[in-house]
Amino acid sequence: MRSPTPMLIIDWRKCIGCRTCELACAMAKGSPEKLGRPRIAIHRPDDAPIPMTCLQCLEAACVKICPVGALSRHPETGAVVLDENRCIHCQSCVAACPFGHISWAEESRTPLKCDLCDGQPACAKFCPTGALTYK
Amino acid sequence: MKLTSVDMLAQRRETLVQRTAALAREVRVCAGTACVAAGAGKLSDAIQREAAAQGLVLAVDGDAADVEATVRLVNTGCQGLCQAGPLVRVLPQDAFYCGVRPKQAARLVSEALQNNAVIADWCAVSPQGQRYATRAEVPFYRHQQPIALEGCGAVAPESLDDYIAHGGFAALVRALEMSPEDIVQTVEDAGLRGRGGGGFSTGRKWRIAASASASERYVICNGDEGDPGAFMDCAIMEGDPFRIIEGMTIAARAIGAQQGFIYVRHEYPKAVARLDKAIVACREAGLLGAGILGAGFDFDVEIARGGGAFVCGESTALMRSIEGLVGEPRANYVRSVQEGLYGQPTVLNNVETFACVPAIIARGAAWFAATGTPGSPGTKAFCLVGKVAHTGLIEVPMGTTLRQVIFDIGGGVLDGRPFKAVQTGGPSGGCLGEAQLDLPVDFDALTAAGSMMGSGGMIVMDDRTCMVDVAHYYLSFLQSESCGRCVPCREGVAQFCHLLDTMRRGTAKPGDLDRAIRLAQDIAQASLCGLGKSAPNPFLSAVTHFRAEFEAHINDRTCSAGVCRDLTVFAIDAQNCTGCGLCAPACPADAIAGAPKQVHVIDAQKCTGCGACRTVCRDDAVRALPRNLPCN
Amino acid sequence: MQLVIDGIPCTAESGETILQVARRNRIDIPTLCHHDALEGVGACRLCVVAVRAHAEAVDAQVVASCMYAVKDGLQVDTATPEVRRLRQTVLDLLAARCPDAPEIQALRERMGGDAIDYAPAVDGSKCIMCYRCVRACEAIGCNAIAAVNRGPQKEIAPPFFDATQRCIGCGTCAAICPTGHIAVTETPQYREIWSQRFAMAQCAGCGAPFMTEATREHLAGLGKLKPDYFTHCAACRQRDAAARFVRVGT
Repeated sequence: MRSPTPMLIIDWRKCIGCRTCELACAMAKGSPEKLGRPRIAIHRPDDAPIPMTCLQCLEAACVKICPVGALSRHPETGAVVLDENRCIHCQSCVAACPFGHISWAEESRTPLKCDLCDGQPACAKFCPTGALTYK
Repeated sequence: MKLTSVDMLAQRRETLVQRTAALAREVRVCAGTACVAAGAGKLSDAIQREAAAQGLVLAVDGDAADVEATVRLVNTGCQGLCQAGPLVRVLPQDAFYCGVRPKQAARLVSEALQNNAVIADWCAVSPQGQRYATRAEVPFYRHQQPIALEGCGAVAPESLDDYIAHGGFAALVRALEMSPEDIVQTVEDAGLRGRGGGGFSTGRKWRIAASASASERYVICNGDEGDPGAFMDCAIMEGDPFRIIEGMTIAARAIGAQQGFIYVRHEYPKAVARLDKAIVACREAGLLGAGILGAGFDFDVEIARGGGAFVCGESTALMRSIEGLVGEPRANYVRSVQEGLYGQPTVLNNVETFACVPAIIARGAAWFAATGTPGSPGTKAFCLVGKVAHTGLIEVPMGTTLRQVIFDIGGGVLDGRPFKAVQTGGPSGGCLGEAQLDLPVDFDALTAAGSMMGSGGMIVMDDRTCMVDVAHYYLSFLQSESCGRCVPCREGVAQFCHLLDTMRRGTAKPGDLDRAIRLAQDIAQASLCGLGKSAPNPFLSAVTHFRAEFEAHINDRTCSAGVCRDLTVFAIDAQNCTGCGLCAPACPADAIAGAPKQVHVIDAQKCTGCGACRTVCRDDAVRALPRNLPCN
Repeated sequence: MQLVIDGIPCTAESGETILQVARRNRIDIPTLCHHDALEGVGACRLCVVAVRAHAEAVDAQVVASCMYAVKDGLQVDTATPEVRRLRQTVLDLLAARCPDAPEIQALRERMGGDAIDYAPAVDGSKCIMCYRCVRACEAIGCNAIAAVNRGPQKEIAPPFFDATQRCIGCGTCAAICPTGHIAVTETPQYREIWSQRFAMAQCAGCGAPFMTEATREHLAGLGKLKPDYFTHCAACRQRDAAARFVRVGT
């Protein structure tokens, strides 16, 4: 039997604000020639750094609002993933996420969200302090 | 009065028939569109006034209740010979008068209605001078055999009583006694094929719909007749609306439908009004609605009005239109008999098809199949129009040759000019030439020749018709009537028009004909619906039978018919010109000079090639010559 | 059920289209109007393929693969000379209709067949009548635009070419348009589309315009989420959420 689905765990107290996660994500989502747009961002409320990325909500607002069912839960990773071929670029998901975790890429007219890198999240892999872990 | 049983209908008919039998005579004034335009309405009024003045009591239309009346006047639907209206037929003599004017009403009443006289000097005359004392002798009618048009021109279109008196709803009674399976079997055995043009077996269509599993089924009558020059369905809807309702009700009984729709195009307001009245009358009489004739069978009909889009005659577009959607076809990979209106099994037949059904049920499959050809039993209605001596609405047995239709019934080409082509099948059909004149009208024979039966338009063309121009006409019709949904039809047909237009203008390049043929084949293969797939037919058939004419337009820049203005100048043949002076004032370009009784001359520089002079010339003195455009 | 596409045996479910099965098996069929999330219309005819009922059948029929539901034993050829020629014709015709649409010209060059230059449209727009915008608008639930007129005059427009309450100015039609035909003008105050001006909603946090007021009303009105979901832009929501998390955690 398979082990329970691993989760991306954010322990912001361990975050040192180095932004390695942003770079790792940009590399994972880009090409060898060009960095992609990161799906994770370091925020500093009250000067305390905290990595912010999709929480893969169980009752996800983005899934609810999408008019064409382009967002769905990946059966293995449990991530809420976008089927780009189904997306009609209406930005409803961008508007719906209560945490602002979906951003809009104007140049490719697509919403950007964390898909847990198909079960190998680059951010967690490269986080030097264990603020981001995938287990 | 509600007819709650089959017996009540029979009693009603008996009463009506006795009343009709008591009448001495019946005069039928054609109130079809062409005759009304020629003054049939005024004629009918004049006859009624004259009758009153002469003390003759008339029963008008279905109003047979007046037992005092000795003569009945019926304003009928189209009687057929549209070109010679207003038409009047007097029974029982079967006298037939053409072009009757209101001022002739007095004589008509005093001689033909007060007693049995045939007004000899009004009768039609053969070219040999023979008078036709009865309508049956007139060649236009002699070769016809009406089935779908049986009641059109005979019954009072707005009278349910008159329809019943003529045997109406007897077939429905028969159908109520039969099992649905027997009805389907009878229609299938009769070999009835779709009169809308497709020629699909009606019985098989009904069988598929009946056997599909569904909670609801629909019957639709396609009255969206849009082919240029076709008005058969219009005539039936206006002239014999109850027959369509009876045919649809029988179909509903056969497939288990409870709701029917008649889809009528916006341009037929009279048909809508007549059908509407007929539906109301049938509901009141218990012939539509719940428990028809007391049998446990419910069926009702609604009229759906089209907006005048040609494409809505295509079955899937028509159904979308009824559903309230934009009338665009969908891919018909799933047949609408299985998934049609609102996704339910739907039988869609054309007006003429439904009009044949009561006759088949009443008289049996063998009777129907005995007429026509083995592959295409029965008869077919045609609208014989164009450059033909007698234009009008006809119905002939399948297998009648085009030559018989055009020459025996139609009286040959207008003004005795040479025959060039006949167009059948409307914009989806094609042009056939002299060599095909002995083809029988039959679904398969016409399709094999590159045309098609179509809904029944038949346009005769003389030697002054240019086939490039005709192809361009049809393609430009299709261009503006394409629904525009798929690329090959929307863009392809537009490019096609452009190519044909360059041929007409003398700017086509060598190779353009092959290019056009390839485009035609691609449109035929790649288009979404039947209209797109058949759109190139008018061109392809014209190229098959008149290829040299296309080549002459492209390579020599000549139009032998003298139609394409950029390629033509007109000149006067001094041998024939009598100097009558008709042509000069007709010329819009002021290009004709000549003194009275002198040979006239056309200034080729000024001539715009419009051909107005040739049209007015009575002495066949105007000749079309090539303009000889410089090569580009 | 089983079918064969270009010699490759494929398994398919009833109700699937040839295109779906082909793409799942990495067989390329070009499309223009097809969109995975939208109901098929069969408008562009670029996806035509030749089908035969079974392996021994001789007669092939050309069908639109985006609409044709698979049948057991079907034999599909996606690149016969005839199919290639029909696709070329479709692209040649579209190139003449939309001379200014580089996407069409590029696709046409990629086909590499014997192209024919048809007479270019003088009033050529970039619209290829793929109906993606119409169908997307329908999916969103607005139905603000439709194809109007017939034949070559056909175009996409709101009812009577006029301002309509059905349009929320969300801009999805423009975003899904493959050729960039639908014009959108954006300022911080308003967005203009289909000749209709829509006031922008300002983020309650930073004041930046982030969607039209009408879109906000529409999303809130769907009732799927609470109306107060749609008050802040995504960036502000993420910033606020970060502050909340830190506060909760300390």
